[in-house]
Amino acid sequence: MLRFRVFFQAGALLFYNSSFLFSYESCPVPGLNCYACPIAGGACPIGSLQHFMVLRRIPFFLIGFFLMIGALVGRMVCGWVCPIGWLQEVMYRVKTKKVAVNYKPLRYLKYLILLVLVLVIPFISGEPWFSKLCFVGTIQAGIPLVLTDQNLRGMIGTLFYLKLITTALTLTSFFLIKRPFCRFICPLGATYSLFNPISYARLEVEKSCTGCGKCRETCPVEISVYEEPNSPECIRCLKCTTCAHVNFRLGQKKEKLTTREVEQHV
Amino acid sequence: MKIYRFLLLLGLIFLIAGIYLNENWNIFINARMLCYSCIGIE
Repeated sequence: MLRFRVFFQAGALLFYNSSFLFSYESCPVPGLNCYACPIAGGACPIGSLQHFMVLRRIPFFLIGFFLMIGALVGRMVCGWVCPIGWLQEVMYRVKTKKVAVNYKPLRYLKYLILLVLVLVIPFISGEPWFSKLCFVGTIQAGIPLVLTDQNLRGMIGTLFYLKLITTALTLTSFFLIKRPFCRFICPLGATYSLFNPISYARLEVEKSCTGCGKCRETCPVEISVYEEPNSPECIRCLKCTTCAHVNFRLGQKKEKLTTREVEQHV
Repeated sequence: MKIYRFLLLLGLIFLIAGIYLNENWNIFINARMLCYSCIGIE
């Protein structure tokens, strides 16, 4: 299954940007994909969420969308059908100096971004501030549209240059750090991560695990799978399942107690 | 009831409510058309 992951990622990129084939722009897509992109087929879930905040309305459909995806697969979306996740993986393969970032409090930054830039500030100010800084919009919509549309070229100002700077910084970090956007910034990943510990699709570590750390070496988000297999940080790419002690399963395993354990409980 | 089943059910209720209210669809379309913020234009 793991070897087909790249086809899922490529398929998702094509599906999200397929307005030339079919359009479903009134429906959000599960991964991060800018809906201002000229060929985007669906709506960006984070962009739509901000838009609801700006309009001060309850996003019923989006809440249902997040609840259903989260309850089924948790953050598996990040590892399998997010074009930005794929971009980070591809760019990290370029041979340059690599930097390991193990400062744990940084992982909480994405929750802060979700709360402040996606929910609170758009609600108060009426402006979608995450979109104003989002690098995805710059690479998928800003740069192509400004290059091809003379009217838009005449409208660019400080914000556009600010977005170019954030884009350059973000893309540079992709060469150096393993999935920095997923781990520290992405508000969509933050939303799905809340469901990871209870989702239907999950990882399990066998009791025979020796804690050799092989799973951590292969993990794109640098977590110790043997310590916390359903960590909110896990993107369920399933690379760690190359270790025989880590298994992917659907639903929770029904633990069978041994006779001795039953006696102890009684 | 397992918690993921409860969340699935709750999600389905919200999805149906969103479709029933119908206004959501217009908002998604408007969100896409009006996203100058994504492009970087004020």
